[in-house]
Amino acid sequence: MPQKVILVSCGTGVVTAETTALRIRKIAAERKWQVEVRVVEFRKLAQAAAGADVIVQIAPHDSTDYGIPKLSGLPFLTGFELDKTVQELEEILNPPDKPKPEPTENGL
Amino acid sequence: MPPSIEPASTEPEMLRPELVFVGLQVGSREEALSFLSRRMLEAGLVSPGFPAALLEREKAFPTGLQFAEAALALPHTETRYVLQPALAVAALAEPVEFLAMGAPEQSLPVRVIFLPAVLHPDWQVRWLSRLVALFQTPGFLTGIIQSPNRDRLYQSLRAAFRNAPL
Repeated sequence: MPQKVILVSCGTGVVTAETTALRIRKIAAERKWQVEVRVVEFRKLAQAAAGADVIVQIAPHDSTDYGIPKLSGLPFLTGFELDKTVQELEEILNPPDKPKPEPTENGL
Repeated sequence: MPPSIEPASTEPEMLRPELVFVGLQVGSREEALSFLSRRMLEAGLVSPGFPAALLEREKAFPTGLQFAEAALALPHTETRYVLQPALAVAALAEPVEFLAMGAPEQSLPVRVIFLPAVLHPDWQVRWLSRLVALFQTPGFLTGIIQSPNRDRLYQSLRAAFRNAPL
């Protein structure tokens, strides 16, 4: 399985992103994920997204579509809803072999 | 295999009793940040630009974080204002409003402020990561809020940092 890439970015500088990345690396090691966790400056995010699988971001009001899934990095700092976020990340990195069936047209 | 614990001697002492405050009375986050950053300036740990830079950065990138037990603020600046790594810790008498990191439309009643002066990013990030793990540890933030005095808080923080896993 090819190694997946997680980008971590914060609003400015890199201290918050580096701290978040370290928390993610720890979880990745525990769960034996084959991932590389890269810290990226906010302004280089669009460029870096091309070679990555998911963005973990701590930045307000960034509605940019980078073409890959984007998750909030806050749970890695606060622990709040961390299990849910880790599960989301895991599903992005290792999508289930058989995707869930699409909801039917008259599903609503 | 025993857990790998880094020898204390490789890490500069971040914590100083004179930068630990219990029952600090402040009316606003600006007042809190000014008070703490001026204490760091007086101690010769940061350069004169530090207090203003801290306020500016908090305005642009708020640092309030809601943990399970309490909301806290983790204000910081770039390394260029820092002369010596240090940490100021304040348990506030009354909560003051900080805006939430990553969600500035949200305001948090902050009871505890951790203000690190960051000098060596690599080392400091590992240290901050341990701090974040501590914040998530049941009883840690409640213990800070309930500390009866400076000496007790300083001693319990020292013990917690010594034992904190990465």
